[in-house]
Amino acid sequence: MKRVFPAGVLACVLGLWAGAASAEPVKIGDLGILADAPFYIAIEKGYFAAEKVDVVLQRFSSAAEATAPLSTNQVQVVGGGVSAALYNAFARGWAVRIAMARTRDMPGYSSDTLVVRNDLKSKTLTAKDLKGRMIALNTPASVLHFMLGRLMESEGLTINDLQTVNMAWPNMGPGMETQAIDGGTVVEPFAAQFSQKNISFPFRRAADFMKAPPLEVSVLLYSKDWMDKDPDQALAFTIAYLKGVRDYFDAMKGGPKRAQVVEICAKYTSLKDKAMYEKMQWSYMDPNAEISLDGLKDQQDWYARNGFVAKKANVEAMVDRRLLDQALAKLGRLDEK
Amino acid sequence: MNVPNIRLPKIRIDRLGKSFGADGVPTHAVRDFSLEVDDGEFVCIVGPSGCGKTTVLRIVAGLETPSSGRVEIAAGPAPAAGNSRPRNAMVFQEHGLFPWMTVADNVAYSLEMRGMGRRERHARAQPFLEMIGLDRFRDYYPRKLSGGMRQRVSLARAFVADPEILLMDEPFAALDAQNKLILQDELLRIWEGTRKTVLFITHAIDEAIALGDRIVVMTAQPGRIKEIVPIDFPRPRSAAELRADPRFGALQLSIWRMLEDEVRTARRQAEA
Amino acid sequence: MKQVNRERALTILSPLAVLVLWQAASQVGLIDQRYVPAPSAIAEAGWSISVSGELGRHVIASLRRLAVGFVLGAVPGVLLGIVMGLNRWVRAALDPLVAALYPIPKIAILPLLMLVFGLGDASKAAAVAMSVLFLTIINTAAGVVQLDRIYFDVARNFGTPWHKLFLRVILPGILPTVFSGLRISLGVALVVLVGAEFVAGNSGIGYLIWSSWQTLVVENMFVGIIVVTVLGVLSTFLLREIERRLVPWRQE
Repeated sequence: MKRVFPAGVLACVLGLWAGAASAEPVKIGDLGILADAPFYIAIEKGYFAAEKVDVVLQRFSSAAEATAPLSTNQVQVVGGGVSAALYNAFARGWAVRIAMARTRDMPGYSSDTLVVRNDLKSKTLTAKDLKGRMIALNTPASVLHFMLGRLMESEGLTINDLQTVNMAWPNMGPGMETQAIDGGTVVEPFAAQFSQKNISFPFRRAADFMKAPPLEVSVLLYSKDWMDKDPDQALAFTIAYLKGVRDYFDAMKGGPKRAQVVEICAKYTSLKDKAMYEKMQWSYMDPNAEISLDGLKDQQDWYARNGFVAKKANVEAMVDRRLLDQALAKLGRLDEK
Repeated sequence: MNVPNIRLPKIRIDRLGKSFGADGVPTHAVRDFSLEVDDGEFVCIVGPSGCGKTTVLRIVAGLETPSSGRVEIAAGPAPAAGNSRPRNAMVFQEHGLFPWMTVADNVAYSLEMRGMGRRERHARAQPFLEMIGLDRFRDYYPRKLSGGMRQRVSLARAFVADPEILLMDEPFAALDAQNKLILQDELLRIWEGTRKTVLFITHAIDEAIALGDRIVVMTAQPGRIKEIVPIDFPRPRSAAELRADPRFGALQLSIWRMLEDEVRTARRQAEA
Repeated sequence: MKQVNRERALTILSPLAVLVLWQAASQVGLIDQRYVPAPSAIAEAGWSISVSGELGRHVIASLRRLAVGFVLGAVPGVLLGIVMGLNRWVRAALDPLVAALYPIPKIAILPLLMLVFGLGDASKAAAVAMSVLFLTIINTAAGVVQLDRIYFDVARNFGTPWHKLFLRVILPGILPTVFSGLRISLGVALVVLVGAEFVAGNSGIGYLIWSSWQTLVVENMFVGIIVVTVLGVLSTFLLREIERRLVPWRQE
């Protein structure tokens, strides 16, 4: 008894100290898409463990669905598409911050695509040929909607020159086959899958016409409460995450890590067909996760003009890049080659 | 004894039998029931529960078919052209008034089924409404009427159909004693005017004596005729006053004695 | 104050009281306005989308689908229900089919319906019609089976031909039951319609609710929810009024 007691006290103290250091596990709201790859890579390759961060994945069906729990700190990290919802959430005072960029569309790495039915191929050469057509969107006022609007504007038309309808990406295939819709705005792998099934062809990719600034597709959102209350854990998370991003970047460019990354993605995302990864375009991820404020402002203006955003949010205040900067200081910047 | 209008029996029931077969073991509701009813006669049937009296009535009405034996109903004098007189009309235990029709529509129902137009059939039904004293309630729904009033409507409905035979299945059973007396008198009053042939089922022996020319006493299941008792009181009768007649009580007791054993047998059957 | 007036006053005052409490709680910060807007903000949003015509457009689209779907489901439902109630062979044949198809959530098969009926009104009206159909069949058949056999005896006794039996006995006899079923079906129809408008479309109250949530314009979402409630109340009221005319013998 005499020996056990001090040892027990020591164990408790150590346990408490260890507990204080790691605290609660970080809850990540993931969507099971390719853009979530850095989470999955960091889990599989032990980057989180190395930074002494426990993580738990919680699946959501859309970024908008995950934003509310993020704002109440029930979930700490969510990767979300830029959308009117994001600006509206911030304008309402929701406690979320953009910590860094996630994906954007660059030439050759442009996942955001407007696909058009194969039987309309010969008739559809420019955006003007789309006038009056029925195009499907998976969510209103999202980045794909913005892209579509920009496409029409590039030839002097507006989004209102189209008819739009909302449906989930998988339903767009049958929708085009039955000629109920003429085309849809999709992400990969749907663009590749529909092409493979001879339903549609990729008419325009975002990077074809959105070059400066390029299309900011998604960002990494952190819960503000989490960043304030546990900055050490948040920094540790960011560092591990950034390592995951860099592995993705290597794989994206066709580097040696590609096979492993594809393996991990096939395990965690809904895209299990490994051959498809070669047939589709991957989204571009900046290895330094630099966010373009101009790009964000540009998108918000468009949403506001089209009535999706009522009260504009202060974009500078939306972004909090302190943790990113600290992480970059520790890891160093990577050349985008 | 009342003088019948026509010599031929109006209703001839010949060794009627009805059985329900359940799993190979037949239950005889009625067996070997034979009865002749003269035209214009008022015959009451009394018997214990389950003796098949309702079954007999339903077979005469044509609502059920017999398992054995037969029922013959003599045709009346040739009906006036275009006036299809139905053979019989039933007045049921529960009133059977259609809740979704007004009193007037209920009473005129038989005429409607013969294709008569609205105005004509309501005109035809009007005197019957007045006869039962419910003209004021012609546009009421049955829900608003008391049990006694509903049975009067039921009676009127049957009479409007101008049937040759009236079949009544304990029509006053659900009424209180006072209303019973009133309706018995009303029935007699209306019937006196038309003298139709009536088969009247009841549990109440005093009611049977007050109303009937003859009383048929049935046995317990399988139902058969035990006795037929002639009732000699002269007509027109008053149901209430008849009860003061000294012969009434003795008659009631003697019929009860015939019935008593059957009732006890029926109770034993029910408890088995 | 008369009893009836007191009851009426309470019916109006109690929701008003809730609204007042809600507004007060929002303003002192008991209710987080970031997530649950105050009634005043909802009213403002409601006004703005009414004036712009947007709300009207959605309401008309939803009502159109509701009306068409409801009628398309209720009429065959009543007819089939009557046949099933009257004939035990038809009942035996169709009962398993109805029992199997009834529990399928219509929203789950909506993508299938869209393949057949397209993206527009038709697929949503079809979803509504299917929900109403099964409910009405089951309810009407029960009504026929429960119809007191004495009415059939009376009808036979007075020489009722087949078509008159249907029109003057069976149909009025089951009308109260049918209306109860219709009232339930209406509630279900609204739920199914709104859900269907979540899944695919670009108009309707369901679309308004869903897209407002997707873009986090929460005030509009609440407007949509309130409008659905109001639609439910109004259509139930309309149904009761129709019932009052058609079933006058059943006054409460």
